[in-house]
Amino acid sequence: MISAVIIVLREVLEGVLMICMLMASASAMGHRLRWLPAALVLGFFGAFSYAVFLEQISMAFDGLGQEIISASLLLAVAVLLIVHNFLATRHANLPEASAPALAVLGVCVAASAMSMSREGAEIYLYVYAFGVQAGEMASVLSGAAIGAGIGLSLGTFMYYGLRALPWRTCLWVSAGIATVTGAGLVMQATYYLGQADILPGQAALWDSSSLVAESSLTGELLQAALGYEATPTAVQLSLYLASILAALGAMALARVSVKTREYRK
Amino acid sequence: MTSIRIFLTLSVSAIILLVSFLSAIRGYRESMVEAELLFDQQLLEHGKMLSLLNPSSLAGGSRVIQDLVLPNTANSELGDEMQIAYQIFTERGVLILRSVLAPSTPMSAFEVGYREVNFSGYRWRVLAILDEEQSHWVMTAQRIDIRYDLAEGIILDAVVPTVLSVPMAALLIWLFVSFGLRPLQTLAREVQSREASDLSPVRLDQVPRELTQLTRSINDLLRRLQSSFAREKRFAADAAHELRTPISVLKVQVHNLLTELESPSASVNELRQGIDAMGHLVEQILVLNRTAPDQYMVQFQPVDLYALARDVVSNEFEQILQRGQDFELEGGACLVKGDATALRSLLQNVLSNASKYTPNGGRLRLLVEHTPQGTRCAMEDSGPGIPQAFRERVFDRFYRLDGDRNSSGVSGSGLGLAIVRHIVDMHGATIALGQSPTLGGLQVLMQFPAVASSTTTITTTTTPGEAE
Amino acid sequence: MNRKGKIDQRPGRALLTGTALCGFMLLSGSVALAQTLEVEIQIREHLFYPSEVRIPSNTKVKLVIRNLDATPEEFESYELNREKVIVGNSQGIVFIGPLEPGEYPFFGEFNPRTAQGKVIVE
Repeated sequence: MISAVIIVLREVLEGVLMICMLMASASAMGHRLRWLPAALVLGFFGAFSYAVFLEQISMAFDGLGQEIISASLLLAVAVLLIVHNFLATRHANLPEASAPALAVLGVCVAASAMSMSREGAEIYLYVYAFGVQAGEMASVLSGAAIGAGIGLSLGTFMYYGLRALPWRTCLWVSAGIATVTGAGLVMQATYYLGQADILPGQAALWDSSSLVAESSLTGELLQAALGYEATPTAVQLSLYLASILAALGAMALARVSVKTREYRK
Repeated sequence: MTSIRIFLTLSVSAIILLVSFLSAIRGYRESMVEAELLFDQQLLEHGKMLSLLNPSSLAGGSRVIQDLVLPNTANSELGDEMQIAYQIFTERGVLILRSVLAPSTPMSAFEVGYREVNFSGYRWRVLAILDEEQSHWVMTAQRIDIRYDLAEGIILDAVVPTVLSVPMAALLIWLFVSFGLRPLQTLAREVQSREASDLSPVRLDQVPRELTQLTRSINDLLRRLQSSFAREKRFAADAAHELRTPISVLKVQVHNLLTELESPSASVNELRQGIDAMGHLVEQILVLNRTAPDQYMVQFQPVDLYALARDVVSNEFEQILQRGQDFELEGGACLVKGDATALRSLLQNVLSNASKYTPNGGRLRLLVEHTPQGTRCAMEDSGPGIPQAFRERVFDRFYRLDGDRNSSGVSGSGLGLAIVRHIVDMHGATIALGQSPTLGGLQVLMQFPAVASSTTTITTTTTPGEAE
Repeated sequence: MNRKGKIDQRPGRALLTGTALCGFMLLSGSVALAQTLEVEIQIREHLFYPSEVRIPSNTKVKLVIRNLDATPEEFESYELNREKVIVGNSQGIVFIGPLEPGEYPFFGEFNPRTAQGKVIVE
């Protein structure tokens, strides 16, 4: 049961925290949550097809399909989060404008659906294989329910916590969360790329696992929230920092363009 | 935008869920550790028992003894009995005795303690001990998957109800939150359902403490609104009323001026017309105020619209005759629930408008008839009509087609159709402007709702009415 | 350096490229092998065989994980930063290293109780 809790909680937490952040941020930008059902449907569909075709996907690209698809999804979501930061900063004060509004909704739907596809596929595979095939229903299902319940509860707190803030602060905090989440996703993508031998394997720069072990609860939470890595390599660290810089750069760019627009007026 | 009910339900459920699930996990983990200890204890006891066998007394060599099978009382429903594999070695590591399940190679390193290793296709927890004379190694082992299944089977029975109780708790929270928020909905319904004109204070039985202030504020607001409405209405009515006397005086003066002057100039005639127009306007304003909905709606009675129309036509007939217009009144007795004075004013305005804007010698037709939906009243003329684009605007107060340079050369206040719309709305009727299919000019089509009961008596107004 | 490693990983492509390349590979075989050693790990009844993998330090190693069970398994290691789902009755490839000497535990995330193993770098 405990392994079901851990697997499901870890996967759900990553997705739910990001989706709740996007929900709060989109609401602060003046959008209703109409995009959410679309994202959920796409996400479930994506997760289901990913799980069903996992074998074919794994065999693609000389057996490295899984890594390549996972890394692509992770990087795509990371890019979408950077776009989110740009939109949140730039269009904070004109919520009803139509083109940026559509862009915001598009980012929310795409990022949520892609994240759900990846996380959901693993949950589906685990629950189906062990709950249904191996007949450990009670154990797997209660574990999955506990994991999913904890993840969704934390997401609920996050959503209402963010909504309780004044909308401008809410957007700033959301952008901050998007920045670290995006960097965490880039970090995860580097594992897959390393595993597929696309990024070179390197010696770790340091080892902080004695401080916070990745397998500990704190480590798991830090990994889900910030992309914590106890033994980062030079390539991983630079990509992580580059992603944070890109997110901050997008926000700075948006500030500048807002300023010039106001100046022209 | 955000729902209090959803917020309360979700957040309270989330708190309950977190607390109960986290404690369930904690309980699960502690129980598992307990179970592990128990199983380890079992390994140790078996090991000690085996070391008491004094293996050297048995025949030498590697003789295989049947497995020691322990009956398992706690988990008979699993059907899996906890089997213990064991080996006994000499201190130099020569195997002298083993159970069927144990391999012929040492299950563990020759070091005292617990270890987890793979053999025979399973993962095992192995305990290695030395007997008291330090002459024999005894190794006992249990399959980890069976240990786990046995322990989890028991603990899960305690966890599953916790998991199932959370959705039920969430459902109850939803119901109770809805119940708790009911006064809020009652208040909203109370405010929403009232008529636009109803400004009486909101009355709720048992106002909860949280809503007392809100109810008080709403009532306060309603009271102020009511007094300011009354003030405004009184002002307009009073002003119009006060203006009547000076206008009458002016009319008399102009009349006198006309008789005094032998050949009155055109401007004096225009002065007279202007004063007449002003008098008309003031009368219209008085009608508009008298028919404010709140006072009149309660006094509605069934009125025969056809009889009323006949009465109005006879009053206006002089004007129609003067202009040489051909007039027809069609239909039969039709009951409408409403105020006779207001309806008279309505018909008067519609009829005089039609006559006014139809050229001399034109045709007019007024139809009052029953339809399944109620009573239909249509005024048609052969005049120029109103272009589509202006049909809505003519209902605005003081709006006149083409402004003051009205090509018809007819004077008017611009209040007529505003009054008509006002009265129509008040009676829950509809009005539409269109093109007359028979006469080609304007068609004013009014549809009154059906009267619910037919037993009420008809009160046709035979008196000339209050239109002074 | 990396390119040679890639050639070695993909026998299918190497076959297509014909004898000239085969000759080249034979010549450089010792170097290439030193960089991408291939190790097979099997999963049977939710157990890893072998459960201890010994590899040399500072060498890239290609782990071929063959899942002979009907159920999927996720090969996972925090220490190696590797995570890969392997569907039932199929195989997956995971590259690890170059690594410092030491022990790097891995486990099957779907059956963490039994599917345990470690990479020992010497």
